[in-house]
Amino acid sequence: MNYYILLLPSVHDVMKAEKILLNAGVNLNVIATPREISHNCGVVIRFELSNLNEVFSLLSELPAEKKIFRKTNENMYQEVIKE
Amino acid sequence: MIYLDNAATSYPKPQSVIKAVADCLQSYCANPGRSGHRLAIEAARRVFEVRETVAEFFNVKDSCNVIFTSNATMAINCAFAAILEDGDNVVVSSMEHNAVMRPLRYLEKEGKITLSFIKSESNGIIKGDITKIIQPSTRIVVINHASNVNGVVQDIAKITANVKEYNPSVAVLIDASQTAGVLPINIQSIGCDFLAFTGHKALYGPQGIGGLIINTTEPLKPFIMGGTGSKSESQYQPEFLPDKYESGTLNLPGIVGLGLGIEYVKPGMEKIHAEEMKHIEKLIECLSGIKGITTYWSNSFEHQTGVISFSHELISCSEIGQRLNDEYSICVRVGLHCAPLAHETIGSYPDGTVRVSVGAFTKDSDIDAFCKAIERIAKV
Repeated sequence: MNYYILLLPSVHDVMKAEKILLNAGVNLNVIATPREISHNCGVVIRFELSNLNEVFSLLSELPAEKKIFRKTNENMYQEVIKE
Repeated sequence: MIYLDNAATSYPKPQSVIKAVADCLQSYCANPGRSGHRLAIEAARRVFEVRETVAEFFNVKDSCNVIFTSNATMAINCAFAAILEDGDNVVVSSMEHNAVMRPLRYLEKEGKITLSFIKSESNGIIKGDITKIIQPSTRIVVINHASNVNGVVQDIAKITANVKEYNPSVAVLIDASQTAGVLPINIQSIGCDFLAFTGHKALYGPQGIGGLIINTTEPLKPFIMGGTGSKSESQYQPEFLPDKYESGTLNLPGIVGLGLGIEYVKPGMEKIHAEEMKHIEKLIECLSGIKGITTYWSNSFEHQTGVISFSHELISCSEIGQRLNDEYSICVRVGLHCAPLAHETIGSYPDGTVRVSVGAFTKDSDIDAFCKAIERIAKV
């Protein structure tokens, strides 16, 4: 299954992003950070491929540094957007 | 039992707070933000929600500037650790609690800082221009929003504006231990750099939770360092908020309780304060009519919280407190209330006072019972 991962610096940023995206009706899951993209012990947001532009636009005013990865195959993550 | 010691900690707590804390302990008390499992995520979500609630309550622009601490004392210590450097001068009001005085006196004794004191009226109210005592080396001005001894409220917006007009680089720290949940506090309109609050007094949360609100973009030093759940690959403290200033496992049940406490007090704050002032008016009336009693308060209901003090010329405050407890089951606090400086200012040092402090759950009949009791005790 292919999907995107949104990596943010802090758990606080993840919770803030989750609230913004859920309020806009974006289908997402908060999951443990995959070791392949970061060694932090926190969480990231997983969302579907069709939502990329919407997520990007909804979070444009979130000041935190955002990194989005596309999961292509099992354990293969490709960074697509870095701010 | 009649509880009139709300300035120490509010009691009882609202049922909504009790239920929320119990539910947290029972249902989702995992480590917030430290794991990816559902309970840890739910815990992190609750912390975020309460951080947003606190931010909205004090009108903080971004909730990442709300730093949870264990109480106001820790928040005040943290603010000093964040900003003070050797050679700095600190200006304090004459009504400060030992939460402010002890860390500052320690630094002064170590030769690291100097202290200057703002003069006030005999009831503790600051009047006039305070900038006369600000020196080129002054780094921070500390103002106690309302005294835990006599309930005197300072005009913190005016004092902060006074300081900032004189020198915008001098920081202002407000100790809101006695006012958060009593009076509206809008940090944007006040313009202070730091606000320390506690959750267990007029915010009706449990003990062990408080916070420091950071309202400055000036570079600050981290004051407690350790695990944050973020940047785990690095042995250095993260630079982003709230993680820069918040390490170690958070007090999740306390945070949840604080959130529900704010929800409880927020809609009725004005009404609760008005009721408390009615109780204070009645207490003043009763105490002023008793021979030998001196009352300590602001002498104006506009500058007053639900806290007053009194002393008797012949009976010690400890004896009055003991008799209220033993003979009438009335709980008050006697002595110096961890604020010797404030007692010096109002003229009740070193003997101290009997402090009566009301809260949202104080009833008219509690005040009537107290008045009857003190009338009997004071008959020497």
